Amino acid sequence: MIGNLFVQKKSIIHDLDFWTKFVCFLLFLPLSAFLASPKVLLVLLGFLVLLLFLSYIGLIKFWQSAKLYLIPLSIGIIVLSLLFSSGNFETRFLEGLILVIRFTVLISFGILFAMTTNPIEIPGGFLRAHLPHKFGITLMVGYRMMPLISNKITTVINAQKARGANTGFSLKNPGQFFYFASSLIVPIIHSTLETSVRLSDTLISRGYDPEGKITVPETKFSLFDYLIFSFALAITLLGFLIH
Amino acid sequence: MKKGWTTTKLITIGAIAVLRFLIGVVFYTTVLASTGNIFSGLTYGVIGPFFIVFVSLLINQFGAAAIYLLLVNIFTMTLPTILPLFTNLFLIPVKGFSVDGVNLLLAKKHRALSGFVCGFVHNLLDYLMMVIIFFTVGLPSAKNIPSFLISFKWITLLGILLSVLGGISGYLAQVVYNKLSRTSIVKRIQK
Repeated sequence: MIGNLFVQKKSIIHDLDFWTKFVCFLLFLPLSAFLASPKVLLVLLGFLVLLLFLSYIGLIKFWQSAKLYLIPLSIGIIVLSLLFSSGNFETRFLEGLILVIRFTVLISFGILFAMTTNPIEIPGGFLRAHLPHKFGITLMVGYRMMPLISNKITTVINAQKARGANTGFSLKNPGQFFYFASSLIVPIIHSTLETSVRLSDTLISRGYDPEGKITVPETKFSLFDYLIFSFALAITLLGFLIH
Repeated sequence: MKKGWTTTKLITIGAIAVLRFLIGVVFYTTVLASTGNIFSGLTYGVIGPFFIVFVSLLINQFGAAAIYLLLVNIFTMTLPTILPLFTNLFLIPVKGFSVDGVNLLLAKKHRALSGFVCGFVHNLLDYLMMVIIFFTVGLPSAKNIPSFLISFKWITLLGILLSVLGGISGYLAQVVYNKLSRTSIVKRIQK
């Protein structure tokens, strides 16, 4: 999933420091969710488009990743707004539409962050912030474990299917599905624990010590880091002032 | 059992965080994406406490649940989901240390209750944070909530229901842990 989202490119946005991207993302999250007024929301949308162009990802590629989340969510929000909001049809539809824009901006920033941030930058960023490296290493190994555990889950599901388990969900007999789900829990957790022990054995055999010293990569902020962070801060302040 | 953090314990926490993340992804892309937020409370109210209680019981060390929560939230950060960071940033230490504290308090004398109470506390804190955010800054979809639900009676009732759901989920985690606790792999992790 993560490997699919990240797009390897050479661009200003890709080259930004992890902390610049992370703090900007943190600033925009509450802003687009509920703090920004509709006018500031348009400014945010403009900033998002600018970042998208600077990242050289391309609108089509971005839309291919975003549509999976945006289309069902937009339909759901509009329907909920029409059902539960007060006022006439136009007011309810408009309220729903503003909410859709909020969520679109919010999710789009999330997708842009995921597309321009290599997962390996995250533990590196934590190491540079002088957080204990044992957590950074855990995170790094966690990313490595994702495909392994995903494969284990598939293997367990296939094994249960081969034994004749019914995997389908039926409204007539929902209990059957939950019975199938419960039959997966113990083997999946057990194989996850096995994977983790094997990986930790590998780490130990290579001499890793959670309390030992480790070389921390250097932090270098470029001019673009300061520039983009200043823009993000200015938009956040604008959002607070107009709110 | 060793007192400090061993590599095996840390990697195990990471592995369970990955498992929780993968299950969350499946729910997000299938159930939640097709039904909006209707089932989000239910699914997150069951999956969340299950794994956090399991980690707390398995590692049985203060801070395990907090590290687990931090990892899950960092993994979720690389996905375009809405929930992870903003509210959880404040909740990670509060929820994690509360679950660990409750587990360690009950582990010796009231072992059978531990799973239920930890799950209950986890969901109660989650719910309280949502209520506080709702009344202080307002949630994006607050306008869509039927007005009769925004009363003390309903808020309390929903809080109790969600907390009991968390308790049941925590109890299930304890049942699973008890099943696995005598296996060599768990003994190896706890060594």
